[in-house]
Amino acid sequence: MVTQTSNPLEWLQPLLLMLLIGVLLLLLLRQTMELSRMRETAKITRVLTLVACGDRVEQRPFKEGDYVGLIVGECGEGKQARIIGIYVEEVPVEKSR
Amino acid sequence: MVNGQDALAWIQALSQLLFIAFIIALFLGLNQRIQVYIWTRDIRSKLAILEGMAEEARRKTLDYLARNNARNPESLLNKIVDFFVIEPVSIEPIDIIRRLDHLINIRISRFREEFEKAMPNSDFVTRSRAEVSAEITSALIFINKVVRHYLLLGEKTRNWILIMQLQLLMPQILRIADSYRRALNDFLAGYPIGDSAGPLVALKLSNYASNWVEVEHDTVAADVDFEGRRLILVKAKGPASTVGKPGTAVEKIVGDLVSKGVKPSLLLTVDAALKLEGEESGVVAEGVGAAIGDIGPEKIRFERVAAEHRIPLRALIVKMSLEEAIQAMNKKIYEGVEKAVARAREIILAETKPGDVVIVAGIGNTNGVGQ
Repeated sequence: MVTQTSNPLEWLQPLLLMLLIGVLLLLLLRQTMELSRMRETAKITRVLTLVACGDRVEQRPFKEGDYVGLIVGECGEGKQARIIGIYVEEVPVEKSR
Repeated sequence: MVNGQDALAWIQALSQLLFIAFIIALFLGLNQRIQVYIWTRDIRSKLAILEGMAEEARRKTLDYLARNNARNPESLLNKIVDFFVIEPVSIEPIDIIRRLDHLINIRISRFREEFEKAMPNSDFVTRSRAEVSAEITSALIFINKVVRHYLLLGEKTRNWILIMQLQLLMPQILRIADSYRRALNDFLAGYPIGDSAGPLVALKLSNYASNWVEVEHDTVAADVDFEGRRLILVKAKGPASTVGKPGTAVEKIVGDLVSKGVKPSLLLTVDAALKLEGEESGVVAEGVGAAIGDIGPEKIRFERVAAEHRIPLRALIVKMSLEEAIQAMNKKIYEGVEKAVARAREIILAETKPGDVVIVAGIGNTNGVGQ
């Protein structure tokens, strides 16, 4: 009676093939993710307007028509409230647990 | 009937044949064809993003023009998008600055006339923003066209080196295009941008003086007192989206002063400057020369007038990235502006004495920065 002996290298070929396919799929996935990262929308930001009255500076959200140097009204004791700065800042996003 | 062992032998023979065929195909360039196919697919997907950006910019610009009752917005935008300037002959450099300046002036007046004709009831600020948004749209369409050109050319001529270079450059090109896309929103909203750092420094140095007067095309100047010195500040006319003509204005001011027997003791230029990767944004640095990112005509005026009258020409820069320069000013840049104001005051106090005349030019786009 002839008995068949199993070759230990018999499994190596399909294993290598599967490994190769896995690496290729990973590379493809990485490329796709890179594109979706590029499509990602901007970070959440807010635009602030700095209004000065004498030495006191207050900040408020930007309104249409604001610009640096614009006098926005009186602020008591004959002083004028003026926009001295406008800048954008990132809104910290709370991470969901 | 074929038994199992025969089938296995056939499969082995076939796989060996395929392997040999594959090796021969590799020598014939199969690997490159596969690689080029992958690169081309990657470029095409990124080109689709670029096309989307250009289309979005076009739509937003048309919306803005329509909102401000522009006549024939579509034909106006088409005209601006394809507008070009042919560079002057450089093989003969004599009077090249004068020729370049002449061409730039024609371009400025053509654009201005087109927008004045199309938007007769809009103010200067609205028109300037429409002009800049049309220019941004034009830039995005141009980027899209160039990328498409090289991709098609590479495919047509089977030039895989061209396709490879384009694929490697695509992330950088997308980054630049994305900056323009975001910049468009910020310009239209009227936010000061990073490049507004120079005009903002000039405005803050003037202590919000009320005596600003237009001295040159889209350029204003104010005369104020600072610790006994006569401080003449120059900036583009805000809050419109314009860079003005600071070099021409300074040349004119110095000419007027010299004709009255007064020689300025210091000429200080303040501008936003591109930082190197890894450098911190908003850092202030000082040096010598004209801090202005102009292609030539305005910058050379600073150098010529300073050299002719032996006026020390100093430069102050606020460092930022390209994205920060054309997008809404962030807090770091704003803090950089505050530092630049303090540094400018230190330089003036250290390098001049009471009674001296000092000229400070705040260079850059004055979008969202008035006077």
